[in-house]
Amino acid sequence: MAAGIIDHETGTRDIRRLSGLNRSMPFTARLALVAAAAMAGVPLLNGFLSKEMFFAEALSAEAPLGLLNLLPFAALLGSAFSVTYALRFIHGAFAGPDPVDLPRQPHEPVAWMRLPVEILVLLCIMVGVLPAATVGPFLAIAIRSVLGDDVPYYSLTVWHGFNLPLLMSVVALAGGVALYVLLQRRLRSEVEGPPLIRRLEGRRIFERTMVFLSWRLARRLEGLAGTRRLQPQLRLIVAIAFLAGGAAVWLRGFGPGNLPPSPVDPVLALIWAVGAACAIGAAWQAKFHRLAALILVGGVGLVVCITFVWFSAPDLALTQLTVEVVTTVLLLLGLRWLPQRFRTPGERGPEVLTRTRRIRDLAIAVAAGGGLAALSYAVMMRTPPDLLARDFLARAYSEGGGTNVVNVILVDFRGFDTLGEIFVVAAVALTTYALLRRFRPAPDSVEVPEQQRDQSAAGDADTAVPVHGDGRRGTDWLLLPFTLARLLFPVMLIVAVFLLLRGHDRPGGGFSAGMVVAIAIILQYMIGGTDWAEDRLRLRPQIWVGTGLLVATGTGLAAWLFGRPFMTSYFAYAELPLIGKVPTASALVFDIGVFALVVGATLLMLVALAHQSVRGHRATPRRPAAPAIRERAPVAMAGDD
Amino acid sequence: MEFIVSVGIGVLAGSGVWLLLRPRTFQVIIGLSLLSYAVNLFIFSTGGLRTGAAAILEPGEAGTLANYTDPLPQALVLTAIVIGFATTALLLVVLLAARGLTGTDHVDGRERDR
Repeated sequence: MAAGIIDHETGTRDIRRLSGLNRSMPFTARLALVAAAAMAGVPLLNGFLSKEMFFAEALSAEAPLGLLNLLPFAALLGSAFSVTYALRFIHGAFAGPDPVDLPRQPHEPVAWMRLPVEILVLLCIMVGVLPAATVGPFLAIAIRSVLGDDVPYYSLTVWHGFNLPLLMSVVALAGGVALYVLLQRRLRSEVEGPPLIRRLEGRRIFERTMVFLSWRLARRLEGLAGTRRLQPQLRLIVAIAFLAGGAAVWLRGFGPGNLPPSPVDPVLALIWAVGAACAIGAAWQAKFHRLAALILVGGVGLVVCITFVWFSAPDLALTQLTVEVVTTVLLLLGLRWLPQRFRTPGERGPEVLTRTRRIRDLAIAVAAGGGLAALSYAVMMRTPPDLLARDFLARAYSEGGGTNVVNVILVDFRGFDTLGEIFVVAAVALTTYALLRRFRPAPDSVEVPEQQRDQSAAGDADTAVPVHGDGRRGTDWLLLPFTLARLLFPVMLIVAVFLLLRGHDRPGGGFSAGMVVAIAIILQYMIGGTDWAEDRLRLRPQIWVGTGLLVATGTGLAAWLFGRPFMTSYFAYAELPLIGKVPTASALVFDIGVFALVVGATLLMLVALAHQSVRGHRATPRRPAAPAIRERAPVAMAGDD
Repeated sequence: MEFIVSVGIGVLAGSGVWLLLRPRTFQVIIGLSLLSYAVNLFIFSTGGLRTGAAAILEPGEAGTLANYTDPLPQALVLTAIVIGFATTALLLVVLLAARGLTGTDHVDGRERDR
């Protein structure tokens, strides 16, 4: 602090340029003198105490590597040097003739600047004179908190009698003064830096290290492993995943399984032949024929669904089927905003670079597919682990009160996971909605698609006359499907309630029920058109989402009221008139929360995406020339008013 | 049967990975769907392929693995299907927004430099 004051008052901290400050800043000089004396270990100051203890410990220390003889001498030498530098600081800065050529005229600093130094110097003296009364209690607390009951004996007094540490203190003081006198000539030579290691500058080492770590190393690592582009990034991820799997196989070996293979069923084999063909077809067609690829992926989804049924997993099949429908509708809605892509006839083959890239990607794909096939074959040929499964099967009815074990796991045993999962779904739905509110399609996608223009234009005599209405809506053209879909609506809702209520005991549950409701509503949208559907249905998807989250979380929290941990469930069976025995576990309430959330989230996404087309239609005729710069029009959902 | 199903999983995963590495956003989203089918089936298969095993307990009975299917992989896959659906939806909307902003459907946001 004294050095800081000097720097502030004189404009330099170079001790070779300073001298005689005692005359211009006498008070600071006194403070600095006491502080430096404390550092040097002059008696009656705090430094003396610590140095004395330091010497005593150095003398009594256990000998590491036979250095017992050297340790006190090293302590002595260190102390002598601290005496020397304290002396140099005081003598160099404050004694001698008046300073010349300083950046500023030195004078005493303001009182506030000196105050911290004054407090510290006062402490130095107080601790130095009366250690046991001042610092003793604090030290005792600090030591006890670290060492507990194993505090060794120590003595905080100034005078311990004539002993070896005292002698060492005296020798260190005398030696330090002598060293300073001896060094006078060398100090006047004004050479910068310590002898022998002059080139080893701390600041330069620090800066070099920082540059290396934060710039060169980081750049090199980024160049090796990082990428700013998604395509190479995905390639890297797939390659690393493959290598990680391969390394595990390499290290652990790849032996045959211990189960006999089950007989091949020709029907399922045929279904899988179709599934594999669909997958390869989708991979082949996804660039130029998006709709075909989407249909093929739907085919793969159905094959997966059948596989679930085949191998005794009805719940999975149900969920897969409903998710499949919603995903397909979602992707269909997205197709319209993608650019048209044609394969021009007579186009020459891909360039050499592209072809090389494709061959490499094909190799990665074949390796990944083959690896996963081998892995799953190896897993299937081994006895599956049964510890958890046995536990869940044994406790599902007695503790969860349901016979559908999968549903009991989801809403009861692992209910916390499901809670997290529905929060993810809610977050996704809201993100989707937020992104779509500010959605601006690319200029070439704004116009009404060719298919719709053809339908509306007066072309063929048969199709030019709508069944009824003015031909602008789907209902005008598709009367039969429209009527059927409208009649199906209540049936689908009943199916959803059925699935929801039986979920705890039979295949079903909140998730598939919610999906069925969403499908029922989106069917009305698809056939009747957005305007027609929204005139009749007041949907508030956001409220469904919020209610779902509240109900599910509230069911979990309700367990606290009964002094149980979060998400503990309660169950009983109730006789309802007409319906019969219904499981009324608290898990059912949780499942209703899941149901409401799924309905809300799915509708929020689907409807927000569907509304983009309506916006596009309305915007185009008004300002056909400059569609790209038209003002943002937020999606006005049915519940927005 | 195990061989056929594992080959099927391999074909699905291979097609998915191939599409995942393609430059167009629609290809990536289709690839992700195929890959998630493959992974879901793989997780499902860790419980063993059992035809005709009951999935629903008799009321009042504690089930054993001799009579019933392994419910754990099924519960895991059910969660995976839901999360897969959510990510597909999110990816689709992000891709559409990116297409609107950048004017291209290349996954990198710009056409590759020739």
